[in-house]
Formats: sequence, structure tokens, C-alpha cells
Amino acid sequence: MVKPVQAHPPAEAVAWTVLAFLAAALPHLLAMPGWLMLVILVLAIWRVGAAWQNWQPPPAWLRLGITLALLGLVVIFYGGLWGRRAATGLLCMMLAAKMMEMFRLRDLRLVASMCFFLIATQFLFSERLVYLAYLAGAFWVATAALLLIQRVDSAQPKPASASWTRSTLRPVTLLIVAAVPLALALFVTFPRLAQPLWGLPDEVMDGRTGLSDSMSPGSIANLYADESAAFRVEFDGPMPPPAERYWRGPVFWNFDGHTWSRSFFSTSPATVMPEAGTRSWDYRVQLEPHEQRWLFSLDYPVEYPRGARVTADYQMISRRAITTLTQYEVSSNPDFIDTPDLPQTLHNLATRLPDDRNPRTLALAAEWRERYPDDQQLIDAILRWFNEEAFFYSLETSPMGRNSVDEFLFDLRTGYCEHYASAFAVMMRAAGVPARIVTGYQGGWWSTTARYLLVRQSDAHAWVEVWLPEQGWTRVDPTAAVSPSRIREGSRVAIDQPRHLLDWDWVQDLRNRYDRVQHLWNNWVLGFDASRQRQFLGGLGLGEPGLMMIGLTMVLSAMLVVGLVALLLLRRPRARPRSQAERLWQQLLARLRRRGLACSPTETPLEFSQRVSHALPNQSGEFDRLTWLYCRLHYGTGQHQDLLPEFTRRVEAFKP
Amino acid sequence: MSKPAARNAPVSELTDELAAAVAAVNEVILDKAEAVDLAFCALLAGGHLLIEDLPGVGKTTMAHAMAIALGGSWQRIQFTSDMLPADITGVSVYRRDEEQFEFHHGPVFANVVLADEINRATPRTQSALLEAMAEGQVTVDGKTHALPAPFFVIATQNPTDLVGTYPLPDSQLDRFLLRTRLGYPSAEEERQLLIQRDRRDLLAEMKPILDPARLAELIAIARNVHLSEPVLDYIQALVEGSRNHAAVVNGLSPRAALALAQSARAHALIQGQDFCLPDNVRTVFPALAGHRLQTLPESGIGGDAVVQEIIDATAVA
Repeated sequence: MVKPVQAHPPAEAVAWTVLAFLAAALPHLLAMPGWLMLVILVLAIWRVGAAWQNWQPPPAWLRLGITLALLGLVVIFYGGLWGRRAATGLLCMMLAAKMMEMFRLRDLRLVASMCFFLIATQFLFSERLVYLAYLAGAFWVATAALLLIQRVDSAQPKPASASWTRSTLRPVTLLIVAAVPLALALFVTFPRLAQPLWGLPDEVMDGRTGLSDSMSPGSIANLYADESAAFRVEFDGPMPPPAERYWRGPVFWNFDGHTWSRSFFSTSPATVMPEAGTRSWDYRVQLEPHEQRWLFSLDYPVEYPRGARVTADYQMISRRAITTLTQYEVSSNPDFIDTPDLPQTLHNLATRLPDDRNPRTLALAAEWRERYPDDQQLIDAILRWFNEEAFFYSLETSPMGRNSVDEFLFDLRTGYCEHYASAFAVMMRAAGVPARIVTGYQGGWWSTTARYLLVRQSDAHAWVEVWLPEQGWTRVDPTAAVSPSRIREGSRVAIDQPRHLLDWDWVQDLRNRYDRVQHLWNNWVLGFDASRQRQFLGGLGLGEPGLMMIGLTMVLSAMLVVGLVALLLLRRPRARPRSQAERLWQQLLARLRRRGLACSPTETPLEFSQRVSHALPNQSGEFDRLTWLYCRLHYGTGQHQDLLPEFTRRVEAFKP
Repeated sequence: MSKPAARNAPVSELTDELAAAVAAVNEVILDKAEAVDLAFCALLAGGHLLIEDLPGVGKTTMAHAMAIALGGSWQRIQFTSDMLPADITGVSVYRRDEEQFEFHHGPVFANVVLADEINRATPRTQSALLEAMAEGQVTVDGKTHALPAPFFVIATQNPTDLVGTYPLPDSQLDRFLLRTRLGYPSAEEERQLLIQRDRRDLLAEMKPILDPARLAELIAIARNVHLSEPVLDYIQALVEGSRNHAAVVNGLSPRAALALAQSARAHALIQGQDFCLPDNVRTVFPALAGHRLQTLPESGIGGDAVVQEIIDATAVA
């Protein structure tokens, strides 16, 4: 007995599968350590080469050895198998290892199917619209690969045409388009849970830019070139003027002479909650993931989302890290007085400075304190000094040393907002006035057509709050004294230096337009959560649907959509009947189809008649006569038309 | 193929005689009704027939039987590699007593010509026959000699034994309207063949049923068989299908489409119909397209399989 020779799948099928794998894995590959990426590429290229050169698969021991080595590499490079990156890296690696034994259609199909999963894992890292466009392309390739494999499989042993690719690519798009209605129906109706069953791990992996939990010279200036969105805001009712659009983020109390950082006080909950006043801002924030826990709001949040809390220095903190696009609603009262009476301990905390740092600043502050005993006068004097002396608002700063504030105030006199905020806060503290640094965002770009405020990373800002008796913590922005346009019109106007090579107005305009699309996407797709779903289904007249009801809706609408698409696709391409005889014949065929005797479009009437004779021996004579009449009427010369009455009568009488 | 619904409206008494001729040939060639139909089909459509098959399956007998039934003359040419064109067309011989050349007709001057193993001859000799087939006349030494009408060539080719042969190129294959195969008979029919008398005796007893004049009339009737719109649609769809098929080098030409229509008409006439059915088209299509469609070598699929794929993919109107 000769062992049958294992036929290798066609090279085209292999090439498409490998292409699908590489397309699906590419975003992961780019984030991978270079060595792992190289290994995957080598394995993929080897498989394509093997398909063309008809190489045999490596022996089992070698495959096992390489697979274990790859597993080891993943563990070494990622320090384990846990976490998003390590897990997806492992998936990529194992699929690459599968290349070595991908020598049967079954294996090809497995890899092509896994590509869909691999594509979906990309959403663990980003849900941005641009990624979606790429992943849609990868999805198309994976579908094409799967379809091609299916074609090869069903045409065994003889291929039906010269090129698999040529005959496969056209139906792929149709296949995907046909699936879109079902995907939409499931998207809208799939029951969403108010609390997700699982969340993304609270790990900072991607080095996402954004504010951090400390501030040192240069840390905010670094964000200036980053035009990605930080968050978007939609207002219900009036909007604060540009000069009041301070979005409060982390608050810093501790200063070591160089870096500002948070204090224990920043984590304790607020004892006095702001109440609604005469003025209020009501708005909805759509926060891009930044891997930290803070939320942004205008001063001072009266109503804030569940799952968040407000600290003693009135910043909003989420219970979980913001790893996905997050929406929340806030109502703020700008007239709230923050801590009219400052306890002595906090007073001490807010005036503490390292003794051995910035001596020149300390001396200057002491001198001015004597000249201006009143706090407000002192503040005004310093701001006036910033404004009138040759201080510049610029990104061009040099690295600062131990006495960063001294260097800035007396030598460089050029800096970004954190330099001014830090210098001002240090001077206030040196003069005995409690001061703290607030970081966050200032301003934003208002889209008049889409009616939302876009706040970018480049809008990151730092300002100072000083405590004054009676007035409590009061915002003072020294940057406004140096560069008023920064506050009114944003950082891009204030600094006349391009943020990057392509910082032209029309590019900016294009970015703004793109952001509108992204905003819609966020609103209607990413933000389509349980409450939106209830709202939407409620709008369809389902009242306040329960989970059961939503589930039922999903099943029914999915069935409906599949049914409609199937009807559309399976509709018989037969032309409309041209004659009375053809119409009657088709009625006859429909009657027989209900009896389970369907006439295929490629069957001639005579062939069908023979089949009917076998299936319905009693009716065989009658159906033969009907076929005879039909053939004459349909294919014969015009002189057979006198047979039409007989045909009509017999068709009406025919009961299969 | 039994078609109870179709075979009962005689176009004229001539079709009865045609049916009788077909039946007479079928009595000699057992179990090959379809091949005999196709042979008559090629004849009535005014074309020529190519039979690709092994020796001994009855090609010569069939050609001979047809010749007798048609009531015309018949010739057999056994092609060999040392044959010259003159061996087919004939030669001019100088007659001293009459002091002029006299043309000696070659074997091609007959109503039915059996060209056996046509691929054994050199292309030059082949083309002499092919030209005669195409023109209906022979030119020797500047003089044109008309071939008898009707003129019908049945050529055979042995597909398995290719040593020392010159297989007909594709462009020449196109000269044959239909290409068919005979194949082995079934066990029962083969038993009949063994029991019955010698085929040669049967042939000797056969009487002519038609004559050249009536055959010409039948050919004219075949040209007028009705082709309805749906059947024309079907013919066009089949031709279109051959042009769109991925494994085919070049689809069927308009001449082939015309030939398909004509063959289908002839087939309908043989079935005794005065109009064409899709079934007629479908029956002749493999014989018509099989040798005309060249497939891409990398597709791993032959012309016959492609033809079947085209039929299976084409809707009947």
C-alpha cells in the first residue's frame, strides 16, 4: 500500500494567508521589540518561499524546538506572559510558529480565521478612527484569504480556473457588504451591560502623552507639539468665555526646588462640597484615554459622574484608570469660594520651600514683601514685573539645574507656562502667601458647525492658586501677564514658531475637520453604551426596555436582517417573463417548487420534464403534454400560438 | 436521448426519409445513436466531421453506412506520412492520342470521404484536403474542378498514438464543424455485435434511402429551422460564457457562434422539429466547442471539462 502523497495547497492560497497574517499583525509588529519582529518576518517569508519552491515542512522536533524558543523569547522580552502587549505578542509569535506547519488547507484556514481575532485585539490599544481604516483593509485581506481557501477546498481535486486570485477577489467585497447590515443590527441591539464584565488592565504601557503626576520645567512645553485630542466638550446652555476656560487637572503642593509633585492632601476627599450658585456651566466631556485616573472639569464641580470623587483640592478622580474613551457629565459653579479658612497645617504645607534652593528668588521675595505688605498688592506687583520687564513666552528654554527658579527669573527670562507658574508660586511662598500649582488645559478650539469644544494636548497649561483670607484659593495665571494671547487665543497663536514641520493653517483646518468625524464616531460608535442603547431602543417605541427585551430585539432584528439580505442575494436572476406562456410556465414551476421539485436555471424544460416524470409517475403523461405545449409556444414558430388556450387550461388544472 | 414530446410533427416527408436514413445507419453502428445524430448534424449543417477515437470502434463502418444511406459516392483515403497532395486531389495525365492533358480525379471526388488517420500525413497533404473542404472545389494545374455536392468529409484522428504524426493545429481544427468520439459499445450491444452477421454483409445489403438532390433539399430545410429569441439568448449566453471562462485562452469566435446556431438547427431537424430547442443547442455544444476552446496549461483542465463547466453555469432562457 503506497502512502498517498500529501498535496500542498496552491502557492496563491499560502501567499494570501501569510499576507492576511502580516496585515493583521502589522500594528502589533511595529510596537514589538525589533528582534521579535524580525523572527516573525523571517518565518512568514520562509513560508511564502516554501510555497513557491515546494520545500517540505521542517521535522517535528525542529518545529517544537523553535516554538519553545519563541515562547522563551516572548517571556524574556515582555518579562512574562501577562498584560496586553505580552499576550498579543505571544499570539503573533504562535501564529508565526504555525507558519512552519501550515501545509494543509486546515492549517491555512485556522491561521486566516485567527487573523480576525488578531485584528480585534488591536482595539485593546486604540479605538481611533485612523486605525479603523487600516484594520478594515486588513479585515478585507483576511476575508479574501479565507474565501480563497474555501474555493480551493471545494474545487478539489481539480482547480476550476487558472488563477484563484482572479476569481476570488471580486466576491470578497460583496461578502463583506452583505455582512454589514447584520453587523449593524447586532451592534445596535447586542445587550450592553451598564458595568462591563471585564475592563482593560490599569497599566501604563504606551507612553501616551498627556499630563503627568508631577511638573518640572519643560514637562508641559513637551506637549506643545502634540496635536492629538485630550478631550471634547459639549455644553448645555452658556459656555464660559475663553479667559475662563481653565480645565482643572492635577494639583501640586510639594516643591523640591525643581519639581512640583502631589501631596497626601490631594488624595483626601473634599469636606465641603460646592453647591449650585447663580451661574453654572453644564457640559458633557468625552475624554480620550490617558491611562491616568484624573478627570477634567471647570472650577468647581457641583455635580459629577458616579464612579468619580472630588478631592480636597477639587480635582475629579475616577475610580479606574481611563483606558478607553470615557464620557461624563459635569455641572460647575464658578463662584464657589474654596476654603475661606485655611487650617494651619495646610497653611504650612502651602508655604513650605526647600531652604537651600533658589536663594536669589527668596531674597527678592523678602524684599518685595517689605515693600508691599498687602497680599493683593504683592501679586499685582509681581505680575506687573513679569509684564513690563523683558520676560518672554517661548518654548526655547535650556535645561535647568538645582536652582531652576533663580536661573529662570534672573538669567534666562524665557519660558513656557510651567516656568512662570513655578516661579510665581515660589515667590508667593517665599513671601509667606500659601500657593499651589494647578495643571490642566486652558482654552480649546470651538467647532461652530458640530458645536463642541476640542481641547488638544497642546492646550496643556499650568497656573497658580494663592490663598487669600476671605477669598479662599484664588486663581492667578502669570502666563496671562506675559502673553495675554495665550489665554485668549491659545498656544499656537502665542508662540510664533511652528509646532512641527507641517504646521500650516490649512493642515490645521484639515485636522479640525477630521476631528469632527472622529467626534461623531466617538459619539455614535464608541460611546454607544448601555444608556445610549436604552435611549435608542426606547426611541423606537420599545419603552424602557429590559435586558430580556433587548436580547429579544437582537435575535429578531438579526433574523430579519439575515432574511432580507438572503432574499436580496438569492433572488433568482431570471428575467421577467416575456410572454403569457412563460408566465404560466413559471407559475407551474413555482407550484412544483413547493412540492420540492425545483427547476434549476440551467435545466431545459425537457430535462426538467424527465425529472418530474420520475418524481411524479402519476402526473408524468400530463406534464409531458404541458412541456410539449410550452416548448412549442416558447421556442416554436409563431404559428403555434393557437395552442395557448389549451396550455392555459391545462396549467390551471395541473395540481402536482 | 428519448424525447417523446418533441418527435412528432413532420416538417415534410423528407424528414421521414432522413429519420429512416439515421435509423438505417444506427442498425449497422450499434449503441452510437448520439454520435450518428452528430454526424448527420454536421452533414446537414454543411460542415465536416472529425472523429477522435481508437482504431476499431467503427469509424469506417459508420462513414460507409452513411455514404450508402445518402445514396452518393464514397471514398476512403488512408493517410500516410509519404502521401502527396496529388494522391488526394488527382493528377493531370498527358494523353498522346488526344494530344491533351486529361485530369484523373483523386479520391476526394466523392459525396462522402473518409479521411482515415488524417494526422499521419504531412501538413502539406493535410492542407490539400482542408482546402477542398473549405472551398468545395479542387484546383490542379490551374484548372478548377468542382467537387460533387453534397460533399462531406469524415476525418479520423487517433489521439493516443502520437509518434510520427502531425496533429492538426487549432486553426485547422476549426475547419471541422463538429468533433465527436465513438467510444466502446455497452456490454449488451457488444454481445449483439458478436452474435449478428458481419458488418460487411450488412453494408452490402444496405439500400440507398436519400439521393444527393434530396440531401441538398434537406440542407436547405435545415437552414430554415426556426430559432426563437430564448434559444438565441441561450446560444449567445453559451458563447459569452466561453469568453469569460478563466481557463480559456480565447473564447468562441462569431464564426463558431454561427456554426453553433446552424448545428443546433440541423439537430432539431434530425429530431423532426421545425424549431430549435435549448436541448438541441446543448447536445451539439460539446462537439462544437470541445476542439475549439484551448485551455491555459496551468489551469489543469481540458477543453471538454471547460465546456461542461460553461453549460453548467449558463441559464436556459
